[in-house]
Amino acid sequence: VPTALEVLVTFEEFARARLAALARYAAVLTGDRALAEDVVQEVMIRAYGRWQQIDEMAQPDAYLRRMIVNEYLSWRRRWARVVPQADAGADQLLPDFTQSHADRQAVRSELARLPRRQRAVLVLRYYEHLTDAEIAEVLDCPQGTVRSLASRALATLRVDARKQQLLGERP
Amino acid sequence: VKRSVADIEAALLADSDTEWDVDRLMSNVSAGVRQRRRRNVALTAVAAAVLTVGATLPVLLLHDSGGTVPIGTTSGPTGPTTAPAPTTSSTPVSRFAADEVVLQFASVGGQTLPINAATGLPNMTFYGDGRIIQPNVNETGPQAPTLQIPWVSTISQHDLEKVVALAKGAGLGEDVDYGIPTNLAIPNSRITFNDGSGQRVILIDAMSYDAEPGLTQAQLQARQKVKDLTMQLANLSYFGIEKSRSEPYPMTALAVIAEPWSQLPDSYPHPAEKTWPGPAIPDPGPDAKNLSCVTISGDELSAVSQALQGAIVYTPWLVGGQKWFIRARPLLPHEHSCADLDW
Repeated sequence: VPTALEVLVTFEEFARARLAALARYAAVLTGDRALAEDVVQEVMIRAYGRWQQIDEMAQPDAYLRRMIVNEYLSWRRRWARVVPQADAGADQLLPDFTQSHADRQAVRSELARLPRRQRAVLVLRYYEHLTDAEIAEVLDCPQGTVRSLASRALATLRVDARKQQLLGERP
Repeated sequence: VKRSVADIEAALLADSDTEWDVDRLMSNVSAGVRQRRRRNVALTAVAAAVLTVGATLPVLLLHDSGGTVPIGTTSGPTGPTTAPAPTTSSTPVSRFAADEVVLQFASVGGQTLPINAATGLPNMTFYGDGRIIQPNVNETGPQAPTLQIPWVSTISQHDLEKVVALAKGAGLGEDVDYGIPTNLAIPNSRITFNDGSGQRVILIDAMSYDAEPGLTQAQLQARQKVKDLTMQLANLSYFGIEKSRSEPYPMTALAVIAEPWSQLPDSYPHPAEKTWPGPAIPDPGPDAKNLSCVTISGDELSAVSQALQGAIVYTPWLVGGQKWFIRARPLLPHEHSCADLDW
């Protein structure tokens, strides 16, 4: 059985297979469907230009998710220069018709208002299920910073610290 | 009311629970790729010349002044093909093959016309036998000659090992995260490095634009180390490394890249047509680059070199009943066919 490295995957094959998953990931990261679409499209256009190198990687998907995180963080920075920051994204969330918990929409709105790095840490920890060490690598910061960002975000969201200890800390 | 981590996980999952029209996303991505290609092709000659100068700035930095010789002759250097390497009392035997790339800096990508990318020479290449090959940076812009002949000089094996040590000191032997800035227009740096344990290819996106958003302090520092290395290589004598006098590279094979002729605006140079004496030019490939490539060696080499003398990049060439723009450059020691160029 050939390994991933031995199979030459065309950009189009990869994009067709992974675009929806990457867009879902971007949507979770940004909390904003329109921004997620912009970010994932920009990343894919850039990935096309260097597909040969990305295709040779052991985990092109992980590399693209990392590009999406970087694009989201820098995108928001660029955007913030010209647009006043106020409730960014909160009004653009799609209504969640399937929600079973009355507080869910409130949590999503509050998540959308978090500073970008705090939100990214929560997404990487509770959606991607990365360890703090892995998150530190993605964001290129010390693990202590990751814990501090997560702690501040969870405090803002009024998440029970004891439960955070039990559920949030990864091995 | 205190919430639990499960509430956060549920809220994030809700954000992921949306359907995406993959066909529409694919269509947008394709349109974006096409738009950026068109933007690249639509550059004016002036903008292209400015970008070419920008892309070759590292070369200006890298090229020291020891050995400027007039370029443009197609008869090759009159003296020895490479000047003798400075002698040292204990020259070690090379652990590299003569034509093996030990260290190379090249600009790739960015807003470069496909024909410029295909004919561009790496900014600097150190070979296993101590040769250093660099392009002639005076030969850029709309009046650039059709045939680009690089310079070659030599260092000793002992000094080549010093260069390897400098490169390792700059982090080129390790896995380093250089980050990805968001600027698409700037050429990327491709560094090939072999410290004896195997060849590594390091890509640094838009190395000259280190202030872009999206780069961490660690990534900026890693980039600075590589930029410092390029400055060190521009001043080899500072490190006790003696370079022989530069000579025109003695070519044994030529890569000829052709693009179908098209009407140029009045502001461009309009040199007289010439008749192509070389082999037939194949039809351009099916991709958007619209380029053809043939290699020439042996008996045909001197006739073609002679004909290229005096021609510039905008000279129209008559081949059969068709007109082409043509560029040519020697294949370097590690290159064997058109496939080895940067397409």
